Amino acid sequence: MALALALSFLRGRTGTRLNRFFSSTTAFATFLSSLLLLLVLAGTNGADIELRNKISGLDSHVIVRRTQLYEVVCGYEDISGRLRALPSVVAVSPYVWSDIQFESEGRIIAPATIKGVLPQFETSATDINAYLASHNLVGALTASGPSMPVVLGSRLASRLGAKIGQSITIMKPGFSTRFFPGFVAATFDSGTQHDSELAYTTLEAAQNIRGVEPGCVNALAVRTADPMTSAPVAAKIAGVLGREFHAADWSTLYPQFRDMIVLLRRWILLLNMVLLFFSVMFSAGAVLLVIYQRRRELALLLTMGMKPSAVRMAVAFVGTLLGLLGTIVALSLGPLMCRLMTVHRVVSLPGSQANISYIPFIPRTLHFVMIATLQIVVPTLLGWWVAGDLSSIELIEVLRDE
Amino acid sequence: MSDAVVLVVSDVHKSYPSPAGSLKVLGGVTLEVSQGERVAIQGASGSGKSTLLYVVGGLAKPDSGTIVIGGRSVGELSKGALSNFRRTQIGIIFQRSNLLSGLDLTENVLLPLRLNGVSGKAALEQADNALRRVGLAPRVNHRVSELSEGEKQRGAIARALVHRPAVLLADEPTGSLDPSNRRVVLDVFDSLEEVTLVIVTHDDEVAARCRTRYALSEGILRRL
Repeated sequence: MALALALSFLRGRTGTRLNRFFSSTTAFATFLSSLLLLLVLAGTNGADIELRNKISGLDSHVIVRRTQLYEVVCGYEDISGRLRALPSVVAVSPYVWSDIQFESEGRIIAPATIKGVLPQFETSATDINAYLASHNLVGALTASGPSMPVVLGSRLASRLGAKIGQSITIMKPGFSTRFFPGFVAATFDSGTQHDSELAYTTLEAAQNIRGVEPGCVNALAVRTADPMTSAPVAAKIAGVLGREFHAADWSTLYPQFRDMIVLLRRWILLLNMVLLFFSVMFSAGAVLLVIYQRRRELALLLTMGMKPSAVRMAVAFVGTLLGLLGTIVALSLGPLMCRLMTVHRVVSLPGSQANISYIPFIPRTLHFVMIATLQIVVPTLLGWWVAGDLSSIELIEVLRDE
Repeated sequence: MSDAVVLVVSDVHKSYPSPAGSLKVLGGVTLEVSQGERVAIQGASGSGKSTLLYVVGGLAKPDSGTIVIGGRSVGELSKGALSNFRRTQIGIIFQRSNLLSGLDLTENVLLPLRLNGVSGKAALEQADNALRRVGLAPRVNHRVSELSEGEKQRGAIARALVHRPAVLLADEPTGSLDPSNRRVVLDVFDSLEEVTLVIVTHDDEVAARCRTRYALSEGILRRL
């Protein structure tokens, strides 16, 4: 009976264009606030994921090296194994780096850093594969060619005028400058400063350039499960490896970037909370409007002997149905809207703020559950509460007014 | 009409708080209505006649005094029992029809039956009968917005009597109708011979159609 009554309230037929208008407006309000909420949550989630990606990107969450800066790490395979056994350590990639200069066609010289890696480990420890235009790193660094394969940052390649397959020369400055022939195996575009100053090659080639013995590296890059909690992982690594080793996490290496991310995440959280509050208030207000619009009819039902608890149930159902209607439509359309807004890069950031060129809209299951719960449960409870208030009204006042 | 007394109102007092102090509306009202009797209560606007009607119908509590309908004292009923009492023993007609706009005419008339747990074919038959009694048989499936004011009020009468209440209470039932609709509604009341009816009105013509007439003035009910 209560459900049938609630449905009749929502139908709002007859001479009640106003009632129908209120019902439709309320359902639309719930739809709109649910959709907006989903888009903002998906957008902030996308921005958060982008930020996290940029934390790792081509950098690692934790760098492990010897305490003496210029000492190399020998026996890296054993150390890598010990690190991988630690909880929260996802991947470990040993590497050798060296400051070098590139020479292209005997004319252009560009200073850069070359990083020699074991590609199968590097792709697990960083997101390099996501930034390679046509290859994956394993394929690029194992490609057969006339000399050492080099993967260049896009802006570095552009400065050198180097195309894929083209030969370049690596110069290692020193008392006696050494030259190494190489070829461009691939280019990457990460949207960061690395694009103009970093190049990859094989670990063996980099050991040769740097003059590091086989079996030794400069450092190990460690990827953790959550970059936001990599500091305690770094501390744990330092504890495991002892005083001869130094482990520094990204937030220690780049404190300004860490502060910016912390600030951004706080703003995102605040924005979500404010939006959540207004969204629920918006829907709740709309439901209240419908219920108060039906005050006279509710009073009439009470005079006819309908139990206050049944009236209460009917009003709660009104809230549930209005919330349900708007939320189902919003949550059905939401993923499509998110996809369109991501594909068309609707929110682009000028000048690649924080190395993010646009914000992707990535909804999570939790968002759907949260929105559905709030937009359905809150109007239901509100309806229940308001109906309790209505069932104690002076029936005479309501029925004799107007 | 039989001699069996259906409604007994004994020494009912009711006052409302007002900025100027307590406003006495009913000052010891006593009334007896027999089965099938038609009673009109007249009085000026604000004399308390509607309050008396709502007190009788269990919609407002008296400050003191007792109301007994069908042998049951309304004041002694719990909240749930009072709802049940209103559902089964009372039918109320207001100045405005107060039909639920989301339902059609038949659905409106079915409401009291559904509240009383009557459903299906039996309920439809009873609703049909009630609508036929008020001359609305051709309008059964009409929406409320498709009815004239007079038809709406007749629909409200059908809804009030469909569950065969012990007492039908009417608060200015013709107050918002034009003369021709008023006449139709009064004819409907005339046709409800076996129904015990208490009408509150300030309309002499309405009162003239009732066998028993009272006037309420300064909280005191006097038989005319």
